[in-house]
Amino acid sequence: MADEDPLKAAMVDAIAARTLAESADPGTRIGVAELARRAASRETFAETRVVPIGALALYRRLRAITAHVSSPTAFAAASAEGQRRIVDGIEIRVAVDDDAVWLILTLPEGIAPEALELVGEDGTLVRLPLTSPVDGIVQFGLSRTAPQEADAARLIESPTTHIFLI
Amino acid sequence: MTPRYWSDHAHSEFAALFEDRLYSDRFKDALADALIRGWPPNRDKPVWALAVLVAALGKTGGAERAGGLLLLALSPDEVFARLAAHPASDPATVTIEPLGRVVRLGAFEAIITLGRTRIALLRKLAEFLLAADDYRHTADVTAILDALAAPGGVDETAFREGVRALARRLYDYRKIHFAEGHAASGFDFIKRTLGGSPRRETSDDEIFALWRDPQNRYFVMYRTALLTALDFLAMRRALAERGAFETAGSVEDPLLARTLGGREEDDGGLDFAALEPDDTPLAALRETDLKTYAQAELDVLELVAATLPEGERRPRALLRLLAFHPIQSGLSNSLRTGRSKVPLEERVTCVEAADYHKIDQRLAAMGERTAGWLAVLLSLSSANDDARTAAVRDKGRAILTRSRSQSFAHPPEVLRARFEAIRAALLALAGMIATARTQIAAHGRVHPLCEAFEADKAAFAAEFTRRYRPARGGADGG
Repeated sequence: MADEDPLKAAMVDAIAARTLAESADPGTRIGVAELARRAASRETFAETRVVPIGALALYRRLRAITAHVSSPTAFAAASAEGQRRIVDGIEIRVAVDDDAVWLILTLPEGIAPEALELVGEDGTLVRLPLTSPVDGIVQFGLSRTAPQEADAARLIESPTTHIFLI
Repeated sequence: MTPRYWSDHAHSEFAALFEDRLYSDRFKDALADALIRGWPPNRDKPVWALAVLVAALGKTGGAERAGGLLLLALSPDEVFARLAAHPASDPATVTIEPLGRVVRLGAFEAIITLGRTRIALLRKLAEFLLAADDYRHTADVTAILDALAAPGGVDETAFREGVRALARRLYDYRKIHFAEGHAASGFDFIKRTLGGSPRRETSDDEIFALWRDPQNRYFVMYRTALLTALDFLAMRRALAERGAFETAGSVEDPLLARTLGGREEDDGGLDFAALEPDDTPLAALRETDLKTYAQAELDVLELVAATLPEGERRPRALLRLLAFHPIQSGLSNSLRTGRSKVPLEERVTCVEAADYHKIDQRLAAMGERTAGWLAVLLSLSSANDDARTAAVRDKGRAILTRSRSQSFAHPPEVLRARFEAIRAALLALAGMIATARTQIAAHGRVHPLCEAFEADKAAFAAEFTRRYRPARGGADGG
């Protein structure tokens, strides 16, 4: 194809640049900036969010930048009754009984995270506010049956859930 | 139905970049431009600049934890502050040289001067690369950014390979999502309509007719049609001038060559220092903490600025843009979102359009406001009065006293420094507004503004009705 007009290539570029920015709807897409904003925030939210599966690894990295603790998985010895993680001198223990999931955090002095963030393998994301530690311990339980807590309970139970203290 | 240049996927992915806060159209245009055209004469310059920026950030500490994502973990202001606080002078690898409002960075012979706006732009470029194609290449891009930011420093081979791989991503993206053939026929349409020869002047009406042409399957928005036509006219003239130079046997002017991006440079000798820092007037005004202009005013000024320099003497095209682009933008938004303050049937008739007198009055008000801010600046400067400057100074003081904005509640020396930082922007803006108003006044003497507005309103209303009003009970005619 003989392309004799020297303006053509430059103008095709100009059209490409001018039209890419024409108004459009992002739909349900989440951009990286929004992902980074959420990952850096400490605001807690009641409902469950979902991070797009492709962006999950990026989200986890961004979250880890500002988190006190980032624990990707529990020890291999995790069992149906519970699991244990130790990161940077902080112990995260999970105990499961029929109705509830218990979470016990043992924190070294001087560390008082405001919230716990759970990121499931499927991108499900839950953030829970934490109370102040008493003698270095924060402990709370979540009902496995109450609908508003079931998501969080399910995530805590799973050894592959990425736990962040933020 | 007008065929699209870009896939819907690309459009929504690009739009998702700007969901975290409000961005100006100019900023979005600048990013699209950086992604597609780069910074002439080199298409890959923005990618080079991104690599230099990430490598420099890696030298400032903090990358131990965040790696190459440090750029995303910090706001552009924080990135700037961090660079400014960590000068580095290792000419073999990375240099960081703070220069007040900007910082000059260098890595492996590439040098770039950055201010906050350009840092924000490069951050968006990184975001685009990370998210493109549904995050399918995130791992690869992250690995490249990490290598660039390696706290121990990146070696030249890794640096160059990183740049090449990122540039390749942009190239592949365009190949997948952009209809080159449609754009090529878009070019043919413009050339056919406006003509290939720069000898005859192209009138504003001809540009308007290009958009209204029944054959126009290429440009939906009047704004895009106008700006692309201006691109075409500028390039057509530059090409002709270059041709004239060459025929006259003169040495090729590098500036003209640059306009057309005709000169290729090899990787080794890139020098970004010549690239102007982000000192467009509006960038500076958006960066300042001073509340000098309302958002709506900046939007209008950005529309004016978008037509420059080529559109400087096109008052009618400018008036059409300022009066009717907001209407078309509202139409396409309400069609997209399904929400609309005014019913579509009514909106297409342009009842909401500001008439040309009102537009001129708004420009006058902004000119007046700009003069006011310049008076404030004078009132804050050291006193050396003659009678005339004393009056201006008093005016400036009065404006400051009246102002209730918190952004002015600072000691005089702080306030003065902040106003000094936007001095050039204010002067440029004053010039831009004055030129636009002079042009409009001259046009108004030949074509009374009331009549001009009514004629254009009827024409836009007819176009919008044809394009946007839902067909009633019949088949879609388009």
